[in-house]
Amino acid sequence: MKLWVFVLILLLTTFGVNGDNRNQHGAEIEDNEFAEFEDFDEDVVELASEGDLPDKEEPQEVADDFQDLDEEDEDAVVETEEDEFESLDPDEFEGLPGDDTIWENENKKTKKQKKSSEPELKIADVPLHLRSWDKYYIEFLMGAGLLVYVVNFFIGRAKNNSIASTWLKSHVDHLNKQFELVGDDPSNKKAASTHQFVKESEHLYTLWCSGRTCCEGMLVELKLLKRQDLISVISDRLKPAVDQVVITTTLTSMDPFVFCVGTKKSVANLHKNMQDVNSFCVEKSRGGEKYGLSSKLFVLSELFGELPNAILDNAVRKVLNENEGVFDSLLISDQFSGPLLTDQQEPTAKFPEAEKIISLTLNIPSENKERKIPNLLNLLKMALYLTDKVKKHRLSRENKMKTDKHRQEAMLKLMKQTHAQRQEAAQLKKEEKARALKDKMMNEEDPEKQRRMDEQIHRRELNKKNKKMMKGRQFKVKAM
Amino acid sequence: MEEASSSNHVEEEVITNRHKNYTVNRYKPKAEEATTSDDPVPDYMNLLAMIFSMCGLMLKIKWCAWCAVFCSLISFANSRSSEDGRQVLSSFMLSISAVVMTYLQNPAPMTPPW
Repeated sequence: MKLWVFVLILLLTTFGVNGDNRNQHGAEIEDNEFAEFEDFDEDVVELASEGDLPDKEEPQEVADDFQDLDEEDEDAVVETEEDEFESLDPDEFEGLPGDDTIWENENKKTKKQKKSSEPELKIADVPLHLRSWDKYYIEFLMGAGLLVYVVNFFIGRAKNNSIASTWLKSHVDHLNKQFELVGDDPSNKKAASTHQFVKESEHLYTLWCSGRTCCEGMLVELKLLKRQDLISVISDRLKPAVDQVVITTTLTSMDPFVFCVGTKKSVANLHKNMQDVNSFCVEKSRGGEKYGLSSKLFVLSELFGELPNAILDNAVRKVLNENEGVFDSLLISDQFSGPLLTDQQEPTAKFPEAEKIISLTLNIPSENKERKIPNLLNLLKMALYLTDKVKKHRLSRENKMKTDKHRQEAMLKLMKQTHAQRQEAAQLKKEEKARALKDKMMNEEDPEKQRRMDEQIHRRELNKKNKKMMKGRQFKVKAM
Repeated sequence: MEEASSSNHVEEEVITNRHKNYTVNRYKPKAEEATTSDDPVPDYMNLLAMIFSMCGLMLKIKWCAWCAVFCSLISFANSRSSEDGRQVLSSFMLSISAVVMTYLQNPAPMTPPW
């Protein structure tokens, strides 16, 4: 408020003292703008000169007033011409450099005061990673996850190891009685029984047994769950899976047939995925109750009739019924060649190599493994019993003719499928021969021999052309 | 008496026993192609580990480096004994180096995307 009053007084005094029309920027101001002030001043002078008596007192009063004013405003500054422009509206020049208005002066003063009063603080530059460990919670979580995975790896590996050793302990004695070689390490030069599994991976163990009549050998595969992999453990919890034992006996000889029995799911799986079952077991599967088995089991065979009854005799039926919860599938085939070729894989020109096998798949119970694994021995004995039985079994003449016919049809089908491939192979062979002959002719030093070979090649090409023309004419005649 | 066959090959040594009328055949492991088609997980995880390691090193992405470590561990856990252990080990070391390099270049903690 005091500031405003001070400014007003300044304004008044400057306009009173200076009658100039110039402003700070040198712009001309018209006389009319200040006409009021000039007239007022003249009127004041005239009024003062008109009346003496009464005016004598008034000028004195006026003079006194002015003296009073002067006394009151001792601090008032009489602005000179230089300050005249500064007294103009400061808002016009606010913020501009060289703005020496009162407000800016005040601000500058306060800023300086503040700077001088605030002490200079130096904050030490502490590296980010030393400031607080709380922010690294994601890293700690990652590390914890890794630790959990590693711990699970060791626990899972140990568990799988114990299952394999439990199976081996309960079965090795019987295997030693049946086979000469029990457990073979391929890295060894000599064939020596190791009586140990070969560890293919942390969840896959194999045992090879050989040296027995009626079979070339027997491969026992323990296909366990991937307990060493945490992600597999979690997925197994979501989608239950079981440990499996696959006993595959390779026979020396057997009559030609394909037969399988198992749970509905496993039989369907075999039919879908196995080359031999898919090709030869054309008829629909039949319920196990027809053959004295549980209703949960199904029979799929190339020949229905006497064959299933011959294979599933009393002994086999007894063992299968006693171990219903553990038994998964049994496949007997003389044309086993592995899984069915997918669409991406092209069929080869050659007929796939077929093996005569008996494959028994068992599910290891998930609970009380140590108690229930020794019970699987009966099923191993059944597998060896079937080996001897199938080797000695002879199909009737009729059945044998049927199976031979099936195999011939399968061969023809494969030949048709691979016809294009074989044609291409034959064409390539011919071209190779011709190229070899030409190279031989070119490399021949003797000009006479060279001429004769050239004639020979030319004659062959002519004969080929003639043959093609003759064939073409024959087709035309036939068409007509 | 046992007799060695005429072939005498290390992998297919056949010992014939005339008295007992059987042959002792050596174990023939499955071909590598068959085993890889059975379980392709270790190969895919190995490849993923390499890719994540490269991304972590080149692009300085921390979560890529951590994923590489996990992938190499999974590949190791599922690997077969017949496979070369050096490849798995080199993949693991590469992933560890990716983690170390990303944190050396930028020690700031990882921030979640939310």
